[in-house]
Formats: sequence, structure tokens, C-alpha cells
Amino acid sequence: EDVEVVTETVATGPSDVSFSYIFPDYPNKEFPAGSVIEVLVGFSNNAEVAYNVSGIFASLNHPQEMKYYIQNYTRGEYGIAVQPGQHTTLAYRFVPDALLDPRQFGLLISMDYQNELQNFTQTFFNSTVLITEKPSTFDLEQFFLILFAVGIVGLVVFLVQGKLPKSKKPRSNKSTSSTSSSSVVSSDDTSDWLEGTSATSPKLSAKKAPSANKKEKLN
Amino acid sequence: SKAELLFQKKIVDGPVVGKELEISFVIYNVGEGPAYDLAFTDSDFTASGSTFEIVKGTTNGKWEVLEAGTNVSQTLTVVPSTQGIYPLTPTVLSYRKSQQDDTISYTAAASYSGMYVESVADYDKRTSLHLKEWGTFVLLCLGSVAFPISILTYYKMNYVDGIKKKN
Repeated sequence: EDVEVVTETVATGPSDVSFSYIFPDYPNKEFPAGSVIEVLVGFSNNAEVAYNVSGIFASLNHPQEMKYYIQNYTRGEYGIAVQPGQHTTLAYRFVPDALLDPRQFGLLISMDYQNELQNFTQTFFNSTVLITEKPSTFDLEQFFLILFAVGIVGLVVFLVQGKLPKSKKPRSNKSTSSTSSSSVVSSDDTSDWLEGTSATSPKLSAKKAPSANKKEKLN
Repeated sequence: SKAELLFQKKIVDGPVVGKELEISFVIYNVGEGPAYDLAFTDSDFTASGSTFEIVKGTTNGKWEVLEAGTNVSQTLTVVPSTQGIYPLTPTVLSYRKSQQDDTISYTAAASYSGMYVESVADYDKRTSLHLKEWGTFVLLCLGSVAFPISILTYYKMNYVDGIKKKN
């Protein structure tokens, strides 16, 4: 038991600090795009001197080529002193852009900390994560599917109505258009009083109209 | 196999005067072994002359053991009574990293350095549905449409093709 304690305390340089982390809301590292991702970072100071944690920053990178940065996230400033032998937990939040493609990305999370002599930066999280689509109550795809279905139903109704009117229209004309019949010109109305004029035979207009006029003059 | 704890003091909703505010103390064991004799006491909301009234829960927590890979939490519900900025301190959790370990380890909770308690008026202004404003807007819109419509309906009732009805 004693040996275990000794091995824990013997540490030199920047390796005398240790990090731990957890993504409380997304433990399997699948982050919905556009939502706030919180990471809790544990910082243990096993050294003889105090360390000051100045900030945490993260970036989203290409999963295979980590040197390609896709998004940089706002640096969190802390300025918390961690005394020798102490441990502190820090919370860092970032939001993967809502327009990110749902696929794998590389995520780097680093911490800046310093003692009296030196500054250190350590990347304590360097791994691929899965960005997923944000679960949304309003599904655009479904919306357009429904719109399409409504359109088809409307088309069917329109077509069916177009085939029916012969049985329906006369009835409706007789019943409703009694007062406004002056605007509706049916063939029955015109046949009587327009007989003998050019209006009854519009096709014979050019050639026979002059002769008809002559006959009228003669009469 | 030793325990490694992460401790968080979590406030999800924006604090508003007179509204219940939930504060969660969550402890995660991210180590390889169980942690023993966990205890914390929070003093942010219990100071003398405090403007926070504790409605539910307690400001301290105690657990005998927390297995690796699990978490426990304790919620505290308070009601702030005045608007303003209140400092928050990192609550300290004490625990033993293993059953044999007699030394007590401490971890300070992740928390905000301060929180702003919003007044009721500000909160209402920010969140209300603005029914009164929308109502006025709709009424004014209706007014500008109703006048032409009334003229049109009067015309339709009394005239046919621009000629006054006889009856």
C-alpha cells in the first residue's frame, strides 16, 4: 500500500499534473450539431508548487489530418490557482456549428496552465468524435413529404372534379344563376333573336357577309 | 485502482427573483475504483442575511461510496428574493480515493464565478408572448382592411352592375 502512494507522488516536470475529463451529457462522444457540449475537466496538481490554470480551448479538426482545423472554439478563461496536492474540476462549453455534416471529426481540447517559471499547454483530449444531426421536432424532410402528399391529394380531387361537372353544372346553373343569368350567354338564348345575322355563323364572315349586307339593302 | 472524481455545481435555468432556482451538485467517478466517504458542504446560499430562501433540498451531501463509472447528484432549490449579481464559490468535495487510503482528497467544483439574478420585470419583458402588442397590431391591421370592405359590401348589397336595386 505504501509503495502505491510513493509511486503516485514521484513525478517531475509538467507530468506531475494529471487530467481527467467527462462529457456528462454525451458520454459516448456523439455530439448533436448545434447544441451546447459541456466537458468537465479534472486537473490534479501532484507537484510541489502551485499551478495556475489560465484557460481551456478546443477545436474541431479533420479526423485523419489533425493539422486541418475545421472550427476553433472560444477559449474559456479561468485563472484558477491549484495548490500542491489539490484537485479542481472545471467546466468548458462549446457548440459545434449546426450546419456541420453529421460525420466523424477530430476533437482537440487543451489546457493552458503555468507555474512561476514556465507556461504549459497540454492537449488532454485528442480523439475522433461523431457529430450527429440535431434531433428536431420540425423535420424539414417530413414537412415537404407531407406537402407533396397534400399536393397529390389536391390534384386527384381536381381531376375527379373535372370529370364530374357535366352532371353537376346544369343543376347548379338553373338553381343559382336565375338572377345573374344576364351575364351567362347560353346557346339557347342567342339562337332566337340573332337568327339571320352574322353572329349565328361566324365562320362565314369574310366571303358571305358582304352579300348578306347587299340582300339586306335590297330588302 | 483509484477513484477520480469530477464535481460540478450546475445551474441550468437563469435565476429570476421569486422563481424557484434549481442547483445540482453532481459527482462523477471517472476513475477505476470506488470512492469512499464523499462529503461536501456548500455555503453560497446559506450565508447570514442571504437573499436566498431554501425551498427544497439541503446544501450538503454525503455518500459512503461511489462506484467507478457512476454518478450521484443532489439538488437544492432556492428562491432568490432580490435582483443582482451574486458571487459563487467552488464548493469543495472531500473523499477517499480508495478504501485503504486514509488521506482525504479534495476537489473543487466547477461552477460559475457569479450569477445574475434577473428581476421579474426584465424576465417578463424577455419571455412574455407580447399578447397586448400583437393584439393592438392586429386591431390596427383590421381597421385598415375593414373600411374598404364595408364600402364594398354596401355596394354589393345595394347595387347590381352599377345600378341601384329597385327593391
